[in-house]
Amino acid sequence: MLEDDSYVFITENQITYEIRLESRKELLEDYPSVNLTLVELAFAPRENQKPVADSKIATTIVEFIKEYFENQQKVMVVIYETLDGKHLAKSLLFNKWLTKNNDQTFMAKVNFSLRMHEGLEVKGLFLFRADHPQHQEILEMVSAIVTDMQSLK
Amino acid sequence: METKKHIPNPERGRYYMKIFEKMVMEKRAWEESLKTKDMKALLKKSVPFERII
Repeated sequence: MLEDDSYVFITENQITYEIRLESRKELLEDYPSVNLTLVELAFAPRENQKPVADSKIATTIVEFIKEYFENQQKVMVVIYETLDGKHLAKSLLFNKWLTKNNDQTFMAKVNFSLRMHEGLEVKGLFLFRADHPQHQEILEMVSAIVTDMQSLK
Repeated sequence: METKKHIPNPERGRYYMKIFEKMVMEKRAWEESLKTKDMKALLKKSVPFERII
C-alpha cells in the first residue's frame, strides 16, 4: 500500500499498475440507514507505460476486489469515461474480467450508462457482495441513484 | 427478487451527476499524475543540459 489508499503491483512484463480507492460516501447521503462504505476503484499503468495483454492483470484486480469485499459492508463504483474514446471497450473488458474470474454467487454488479454535458459519456458499475445482508437495500439504492441521474434531460 | 419502484427525482439526479462529474475530473487528474511520474523518471535519465550544449 502506498500513501492514501493506493496500491501497486508489477506484471511479468515489468509494467507497474497502480490501484486507487477513493471514498465516495457523498453518494450515500440520502441513505443514512444503510451502514456502508462506498469507494471508487480505479487502476492504470504507471509512468506512461503501454499496457501489454496479460491475463494475470485481470486475475490480480479481481482478487484485489474480492479481498476488499471480505469486509461485507463495502460497495465499489467503477467508472469509464469518453476522454480516450475507449470507455465502452474498457467497460466491456472489465465486465468480462469479473465474469471470468468471479463466482457469480460472490459478487453482484449493477451496470449503468450516463450522458453528461458536452458529449461526456460514462459507463460504470456498482459492485458489492452477492451475499451482503443488505443486498436488496443496496440494489434499490444504486438503482435509484442511476434512475435519478438518468431522469435528467 | 424485484426492486421497489423508484420515482425519478431530477433534483437528486443533478446532485449525483455533479458527484460523477467530480469523479471523472479527479480520475483524469490521477491518470495524468501517473504520466507525470514518467516525466520525472525521464528527466532523471536524460542527458544533463550542459552536455547537450
